[in-house]
Amino acid sequence: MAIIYHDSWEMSEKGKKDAERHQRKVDDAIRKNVRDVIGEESIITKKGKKKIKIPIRGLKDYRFIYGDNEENGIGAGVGQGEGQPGDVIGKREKKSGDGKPGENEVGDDIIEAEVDIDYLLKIMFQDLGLPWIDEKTKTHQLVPKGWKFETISKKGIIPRIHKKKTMIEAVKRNVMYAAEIMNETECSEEDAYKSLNQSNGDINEAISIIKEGRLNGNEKTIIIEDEDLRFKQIERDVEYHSNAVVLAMMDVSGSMGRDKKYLCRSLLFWLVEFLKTCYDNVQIRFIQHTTEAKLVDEDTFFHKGESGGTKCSTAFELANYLIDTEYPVNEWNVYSVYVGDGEDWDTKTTINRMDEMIKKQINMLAYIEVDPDENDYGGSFRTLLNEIKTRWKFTTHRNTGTDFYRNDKRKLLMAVLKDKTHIWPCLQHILFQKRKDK
Amino acid sequence: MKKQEMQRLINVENKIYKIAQDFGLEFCPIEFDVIPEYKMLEIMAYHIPGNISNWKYGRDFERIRTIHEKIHDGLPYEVVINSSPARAYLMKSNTFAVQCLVMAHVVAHVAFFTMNKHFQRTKRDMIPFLSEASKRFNKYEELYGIDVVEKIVDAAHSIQMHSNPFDTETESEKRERIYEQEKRTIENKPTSEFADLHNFNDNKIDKETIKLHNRKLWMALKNKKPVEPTEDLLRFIIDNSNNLDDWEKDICEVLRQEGEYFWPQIRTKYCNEGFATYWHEKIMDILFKEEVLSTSDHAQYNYSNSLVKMRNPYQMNPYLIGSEMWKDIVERWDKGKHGLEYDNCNNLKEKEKWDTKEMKGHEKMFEVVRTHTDWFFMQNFLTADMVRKLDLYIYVKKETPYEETYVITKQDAEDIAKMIIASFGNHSIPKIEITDGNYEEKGELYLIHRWNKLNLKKEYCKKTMVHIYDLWGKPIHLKTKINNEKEITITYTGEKDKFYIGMSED
Repeated sequence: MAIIYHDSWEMSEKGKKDAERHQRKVDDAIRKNVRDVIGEESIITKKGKKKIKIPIRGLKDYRFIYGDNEENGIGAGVGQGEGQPGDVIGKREKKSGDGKPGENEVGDDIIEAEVDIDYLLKIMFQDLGLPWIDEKTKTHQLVPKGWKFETISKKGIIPRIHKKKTMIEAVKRNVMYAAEIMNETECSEEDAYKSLNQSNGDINEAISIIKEGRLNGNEKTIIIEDEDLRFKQIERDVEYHSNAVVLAMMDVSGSMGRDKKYLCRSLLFWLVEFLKTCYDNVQIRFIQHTTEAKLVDEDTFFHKGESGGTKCSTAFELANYLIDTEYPVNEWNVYSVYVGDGEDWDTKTTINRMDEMIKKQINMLAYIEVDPDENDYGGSFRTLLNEIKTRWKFTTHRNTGTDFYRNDKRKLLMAVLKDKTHIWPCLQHILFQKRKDK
Repeated sequence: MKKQEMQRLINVENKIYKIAQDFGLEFCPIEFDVIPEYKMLEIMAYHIPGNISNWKYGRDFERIRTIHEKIHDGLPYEVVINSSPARAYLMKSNTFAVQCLVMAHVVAHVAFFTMNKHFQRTKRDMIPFLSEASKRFNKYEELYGIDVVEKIVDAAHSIQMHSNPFDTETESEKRERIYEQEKRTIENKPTSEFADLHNFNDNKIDKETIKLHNRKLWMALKNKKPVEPTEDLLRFIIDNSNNLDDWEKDICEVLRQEGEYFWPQIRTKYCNEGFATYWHEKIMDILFKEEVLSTSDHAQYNYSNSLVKMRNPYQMNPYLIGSEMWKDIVERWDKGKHGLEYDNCNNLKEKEKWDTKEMKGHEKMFEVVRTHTDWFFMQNFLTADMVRKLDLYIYVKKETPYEETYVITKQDAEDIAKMIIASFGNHSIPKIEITDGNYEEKGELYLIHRWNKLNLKKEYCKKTMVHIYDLWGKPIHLKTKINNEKEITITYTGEKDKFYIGMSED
């Protein structure tokens, strides 16, 4: 029988390490739930940095346990305290939306992970990236990385003194002075240094000391003069990167109802957030169009709508103009993403403008059509997507109940977005290239 | 830690042992480690120091750490390992009063381990056993990858509590026994389970037919796996799996033994915690009376003790309910409030004042401690009076589209007692048996849930079947019942999220 006390307990990392294992599982669970999370409207409508709560199932230890039974009622339990039948002992607010009945039983603790939107983006888009990216050689965009010590200068402040360089300068000068003294007086090297020390570095004085035989027993040392001092200079550190620009185009015409706008904005919101988080050096330009196209800022793009007729060709025209004037393809990786409902007054011109764009050999053109009402035009109305399909050939695949199209030769991608669960597969479709992480 | 402080702790330790022994508690030697907070939190998360690595322990560690850092309110932490010597932990930052409380509590736990018959077979070297296993498991992780190892660990964890420590016969011993038994029955009359193996036509049973029958019986038993239904799921899987490599079997065996170690602890939560709480209160009272502890310690102790015994509106607190039940037992046997005469007395006033000065409270207590688990403890001692005294109620969940409310439904003490006792059915762990390891001659596993009015929780049941599949590698069938309706058989064939439900024909 004893009480034992050790002064130092070995710092154990075990708990922390296994907590990381758990965190990895949480991440996996988030990734699996991404389709639901990504459709959350509240994320897109809120501004500023945000944290979101994600309910995660599947992080429980499963065993055979007792559940509800008829006799006792649903979610029955035994508690303790004063209270009469009919008294409410507790309440819990339900999360709006997907509360599938029977799945959230009492004691079923759903772990709610609160994550930062940046973190979410990072784990969600782990394996995704802009496709067909090239190293453009002509010019590079400079990306500031921070500060670095680069050059050496004779002027500067004492804290940034470069000791080694200064020492080298001093030694060089001392050797030169000693040689001069030896030359002048024909004394030994040892004496030349000693005299220099005695004269406190003054070469003329040193020469006269030797000549006049005033040399006393001083040590041989190196004397540092002001002119030997060398300083480190700091400057901005820059990195060179390939240029990339994303031209985000969106239809804001009258035919774009609430649901359609929501789908368009959601998709572009996640695309833009992804680009901002995972690439430091991608420029994003925002184009809205009705019967004419406008270049707008991000806030307007995501939060303001217009109405009117629809001429998709104008957006492509403006994009083409931007490419010609600001983002020449020999310097820039150019990505165009168009999102709309497929209604167009002049599909022929639009397709011609798209063709022009493709011929400029941009890196990718994505055309996304939103169709939340499952094509209420019936068979008679031909949407832009159908027209494009007759113009170029695509390989298609169906996933989660909607269609994805791809033409590798022309670097043309298309998809149909019917509801919010398609946003995620659609993003995966556009960003299919594995990203090389910095 | 200062020498002085240490000396004070050692003095109290010896005092506590002395008091406990005088009361008649029997316990093996105990070693207390004084440890820093983070170590305590880690041991609490891992249950046993040096336990294997797993994400679940990491999750619990994070949870415990967060609660400790954010809302720790002074609730005393205790971990005691049933080894010899028993090992327990004192958190360095505890106040002196709390250290005493924990020591007194631990002594009673160790006495419970020592005296209760269900602990007599437990492995006493769990700490070195698991830390050795942990090293091996780390090697497996290096060799086969964390995910692969965790899959097996998670699967084995999910069914590690399904064993029966009283089932110690080997398969061949069981076969012998059943053979002998059946042989004897058949010799007397041909109605046994195996009677149809031979056509007993005209009730003429001569030596030859019996011999022939017995040979067939032996062959049938030899092919039957398991020879009789077994609750020891991991044991059967380890012995009969064609799917597991040796290292995977090693994991299963280690976790099976860990399950066996926890088996009696899980089944005695209320009587064990109640017993420890009852005794720490008794011992602390004496320490205060003898002025070993000061009045300022008293305030500290009262506060911490009230946290231990806090009422919970959503579930039963085993520390409180257990200790109140023990108090009731001691009082009843001290005053002779038991037996026919007392039960038959209809005069409430007389019953209230009943006191035969029998003073057999502690004697009765130790008698109960030696044999009881929670299930029997509740059956024998959770009386309607107790339910009323403890203000226990039943609540249910009511749902509207916007919120869930929890509403008290029942307050009839008899009904509540009945329901609580029922909830301890089969020691709160559903009885699941493997009845066939070669179902339909296809090597599939057939399990039966012995329904005792309590349904299995659906989602948990399905996910556990997936875990079993991960070990067995072939389809899993489970027969169970819902609300006393027809029996159903759930089948999982390894296809993700697909479960087939079959109705029983009978």
